[in-house]
Amino acid sequence: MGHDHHDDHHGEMGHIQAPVVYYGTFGALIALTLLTVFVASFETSPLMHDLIAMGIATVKATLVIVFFMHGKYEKAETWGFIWAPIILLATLLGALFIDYAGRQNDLYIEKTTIKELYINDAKSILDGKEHGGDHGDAKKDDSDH
Amino acid sequence: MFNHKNAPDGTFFNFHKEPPLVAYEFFKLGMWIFLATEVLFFGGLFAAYFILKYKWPEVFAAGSAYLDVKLGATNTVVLLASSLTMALAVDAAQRKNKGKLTLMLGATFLGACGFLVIKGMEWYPKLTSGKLPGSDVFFSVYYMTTGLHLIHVLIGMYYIALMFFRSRTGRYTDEGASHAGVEVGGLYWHLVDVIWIFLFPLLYLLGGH
Amino acid sequence: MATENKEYSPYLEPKGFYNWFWTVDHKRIGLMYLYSILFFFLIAGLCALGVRAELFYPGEQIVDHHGYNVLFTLHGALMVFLFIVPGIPATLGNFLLPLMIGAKDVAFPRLNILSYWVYVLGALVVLGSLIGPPGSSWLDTGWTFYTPYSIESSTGVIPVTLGAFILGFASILTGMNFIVTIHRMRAPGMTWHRMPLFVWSLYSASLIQVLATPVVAITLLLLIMERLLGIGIFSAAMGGDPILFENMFWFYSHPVVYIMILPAMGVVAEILPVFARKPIFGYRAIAYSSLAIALVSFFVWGHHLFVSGMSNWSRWIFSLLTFAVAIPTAIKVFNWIGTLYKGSVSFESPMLYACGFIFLFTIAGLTGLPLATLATDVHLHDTYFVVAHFHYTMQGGTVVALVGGLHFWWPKIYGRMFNETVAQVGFWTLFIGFNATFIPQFIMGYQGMPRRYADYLGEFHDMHFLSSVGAMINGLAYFIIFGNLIWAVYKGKRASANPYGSLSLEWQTPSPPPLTNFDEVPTVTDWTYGYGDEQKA
Repeated sequence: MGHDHHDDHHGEMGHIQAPVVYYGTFGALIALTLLTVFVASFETSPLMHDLIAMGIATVKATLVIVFFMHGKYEKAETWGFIWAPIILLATLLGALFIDYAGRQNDLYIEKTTIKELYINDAKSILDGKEHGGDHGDAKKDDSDH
Repeated sequence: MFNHKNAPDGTFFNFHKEPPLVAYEFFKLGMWIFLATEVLFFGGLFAAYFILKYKWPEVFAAGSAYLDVKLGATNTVVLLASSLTMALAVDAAQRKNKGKLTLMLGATFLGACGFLVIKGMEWYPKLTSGKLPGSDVFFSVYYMTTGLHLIHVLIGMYYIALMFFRSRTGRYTDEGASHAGVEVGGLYWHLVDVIWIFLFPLLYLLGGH
Repeated sequence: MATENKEYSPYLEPKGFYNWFWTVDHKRIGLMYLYSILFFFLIAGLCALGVRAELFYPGEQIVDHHGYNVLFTLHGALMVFLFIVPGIPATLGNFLLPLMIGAKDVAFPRLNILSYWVYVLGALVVLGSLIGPPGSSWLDTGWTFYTPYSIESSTGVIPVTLGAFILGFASILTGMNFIVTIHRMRAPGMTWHRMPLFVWSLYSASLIQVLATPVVAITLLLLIMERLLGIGIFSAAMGGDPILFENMFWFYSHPVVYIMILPAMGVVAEILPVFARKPIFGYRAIAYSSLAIALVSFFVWGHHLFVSGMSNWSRWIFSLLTFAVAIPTAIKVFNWIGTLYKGSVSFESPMLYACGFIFLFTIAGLTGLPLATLATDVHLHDTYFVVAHFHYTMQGGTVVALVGGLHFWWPKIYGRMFNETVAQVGFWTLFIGFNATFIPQFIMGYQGMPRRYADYLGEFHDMHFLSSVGAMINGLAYFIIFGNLIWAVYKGKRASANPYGSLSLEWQTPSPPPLTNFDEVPTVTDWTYGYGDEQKA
């Protein structure tokens, strides 16, 4: 998207870009919109589907920020305020996923533990053992591990 | 330790009375900070979206299949086009081209109107056929995100109309005038666009098409 | 001192409602904020005294159980949203920030007054929840509005959450204004590393204000929509998730406690070197630890959810991250103590408050560690231990620093001195009353007394009684303190421009400052804390 240095003017108030940059950016944005609709029709896993859609959207948003919003002329100061919300949002989403994905894991552990206990109980009843016999079984199981 | 002298570099001022460059620098940083808050504002909704989709993938797939991709894609293109005209409006202001500035602001406003009309075409049949906020989690998220986005579009339209009339007085393009107002209005409008860029695939393209 | 100039007129001069309410002067806006927040401090404080009065004895004496819930909810909601969040930044911050960096005003004076009006609007909406019968319409959810109760409660959830939503805008506007001011309006020579530490702490707090507030705004908006339209995002019955509300709420509300405490730390860092007659120790460490606290504050919210059914992974990650807050906080405490070391310390009232802050805040920080530890938190969560812990940060930290800062800058703000003896009596009353209130709460919390209960078992009676007596002394202290300050405004001795011999920029202009802050543009050639050099000269 090389901009015309002839037209690239370091004015007091912002930089003037060659108009071709705007039209080029717009063309790319339209092409990416069509691409994301097209790609969405493919059969993939839901995760892959989201990653591709978000990837394309991120490229589009970057184009808007860099060229339409003149992000490429902005100082580090401004980019700090561009990155900060993105990082915080990633933190929020990441932490929520660790929580929700992890919660299922916790449930899984509980379920299997309960199931095992239940099976052990059933076994000991079928074997006709006394109540104290449970302990012996549990110990045996432990030593097997 | 402090010696009181007049500042050589003009860092001491009331910016309303100081050169336009100063106001420009203030407004732009202020607007970028405001945009950061906007991203996080919508970010909360994105968090709700992802968590609820994680819990109810089939509800989201079914809800997304109910939406009209063609209308959504058309609206995306319309909004992108209005973003282009807004970028060109800022460019015209930088070049002190009053006629083109007014023209481009008008075009941007028309683009925003088009977005509203298409949005209405999308919402109306849904609202009348009982797909309301609260009918399931997907439609709650759908109406909250697109509704809040719509409010931002309306605010943007108000400001674009304001700039349109102001631009005709030469307020942004006269000698020594500051076009900071157009620049920050443009930044805001592009952010509305950026948010839509994310909303479109998340809501419309979830599968079943 | 260029004080006795012929055309010098203090900013307080043109009086009258119109001149004040439509002003764009940062000093006046700061004062209007101060009057407003102190009004709500009074109401919320009286609610707290009501709570403690009910808890003198077990059983029901003054209010019924719903009334008790209303009292602690009002206390919490008013204190958090209307008093302590704007507490230091919008009052002392507004007044001092431009003075300290040598500017005429903040970057956006009109947004500044807009922020105050938005604050007033939000406050009125919150108070609107009090229209209607107390029994059925006064909010009783606690200030955290946890779902699902806040969805089901018949009380005025909508006005209070809507009010908090509006107040968020005031907070964002102030934060944005401060950030742009600090970036763009520093006087010539006022480099980042010459800025007073109060400005650094305001900068860090403003970053949090700007970056955390929008998330609670959308959360509260979703809660309002939940009640209006039944959208179900936070309702388990409709497929939503109540824990999501807690996550999003605390994503703001944990960083917000650093909005409260960071400017307080800044106030202390301003007071200490003046009364120790010594340069601040570890300037850069204190400055950057403010930023570090602001950064870390965003990654620790999960510790409020340890017993809410969060996953085990999240629990230990958040526990670990919470401990990380202790590092920059401890850096600050050590540097403050380093500032006092071998200084020629004089204990005038602002210094008493600063030292009181260090003492109380250290207790607050150290009692946070057992709450960050997973195993002990399961026992201590939602007990009076937590209540005592956060009151040590909020009241022992922020309020003590605010009051100390008011004493320190009162001569600058009004050009009058308060009575030093009364100020010292006020401090010690506050110190004794405060500790008498909350040390028993640590003990009974550890013994298992849950928070937010209108009634308690007989075995907790001694501790509750002691705590309630302490609370009454604590309340009395504020009447002494503010009585003295208000007296000073009308009857106090005229103060000189720089009664404490501070080197900071705001003291180099007359007291009270003129409307334009400085007669001439100040040029800064050195950092603010060169207290050793002045003794040599």
